Amino acid sequence: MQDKRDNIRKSTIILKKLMKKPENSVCANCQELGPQYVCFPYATFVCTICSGIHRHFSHRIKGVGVSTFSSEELNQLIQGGNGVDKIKYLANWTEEKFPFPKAGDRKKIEQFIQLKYIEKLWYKNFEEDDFPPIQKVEDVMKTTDLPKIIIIEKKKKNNQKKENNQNNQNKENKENKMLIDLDHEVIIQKTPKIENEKIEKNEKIENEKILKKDPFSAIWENLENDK
Amino acid sequence: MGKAISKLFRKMGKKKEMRILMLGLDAAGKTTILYKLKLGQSVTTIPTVGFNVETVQYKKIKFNVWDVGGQDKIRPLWRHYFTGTQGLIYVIDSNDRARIDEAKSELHKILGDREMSDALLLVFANKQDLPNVMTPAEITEKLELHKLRDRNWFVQPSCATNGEGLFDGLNWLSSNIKKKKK
Repeated sequence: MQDKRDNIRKSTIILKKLMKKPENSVCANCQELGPQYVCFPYATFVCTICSGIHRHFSHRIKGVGVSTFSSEELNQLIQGGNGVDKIKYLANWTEEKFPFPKAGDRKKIEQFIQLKYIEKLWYKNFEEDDFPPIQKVEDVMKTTDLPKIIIIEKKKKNNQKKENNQNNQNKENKENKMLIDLDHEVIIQKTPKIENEKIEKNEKIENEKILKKDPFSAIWENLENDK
Repeated sequence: MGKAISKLFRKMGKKKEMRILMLGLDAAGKTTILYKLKLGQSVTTIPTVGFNVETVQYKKIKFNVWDVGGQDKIRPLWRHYFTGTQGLIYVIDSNDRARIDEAKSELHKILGDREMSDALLLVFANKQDLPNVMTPAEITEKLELHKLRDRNWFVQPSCATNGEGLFDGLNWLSSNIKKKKK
């Protein structure tokens, strides 16, 4: 379960990296900035309006934020993307033949997609060897790090451990009757605890002795009196 | 006497309302169906993120049709629309044989919810205009509808782009909601 979640998280990171590539940051059809949809089987990044038109042609559309991507689909996007799509489907294409349709111009976009993918007017057939695999998905998955959330969780645990250690150290110090300034934080955490009051009573007396030199000692005394 | 007459008028003037929830996998044609019912014309839709809601008047019944996006990451949000739903329209892409199992498991997940226990089930076998699509009988079998108990269900072949079968589906819903009230 955890692995599955990690994989989904990793795939979103990979996807976002892919989207930052310059060729993928504009729509494959209308050159609109920041496409948020992926069109299969061409593995292109397309904008919202183009995604609707692609659906009209029964091409499979997946939203980047609202879909999960399988490793096979990710692989297609890593090997493909808008760059390879342009090489394949716009091989014999020039700006004069059919200029890129303007973003939002549905009729022109529809025409363009029809000519580009259905009639394959500018298509050039490449062999598979012409596009050597750039990176395998598995490798990319391995090399991508998970977001910081997990690190913070670990840090929290470490903090708890540290606190425990500090507490233990403090006890030891008291046993040795050595006068060392205590951290304020540790004291703050100790005072509100009611459960261990009985055990800590003796310690508290000692604490008070130490705190006499503390500038905050007056405040601590007040707190004690309020209780 | 006046009171009785006003009561009668109120009864006659009261239009029946029915809350319909329309679900299904992404690109099944939910939004297209909704706007075909509402506007009577076929529109090019974009993938729905969130929901669309329209009221459709048919045979003196006001259908409040909720169409919720079906992309896989937003499917867990469906259950928030369940409360008060009288009829579920489940839209199937009859051309998509690869994902019919996914559609089945999602449908049974919905029907397993307590909030949906009273809802009628209408399945639209959509995109029937395409060649070599699954027939309604095939879809019934693949969705395992015969296994359902205590459920009033019906499979309606449809085509959202030309509107075939859509109002037949609403007809079934309206006639069956009446039966339940009696």
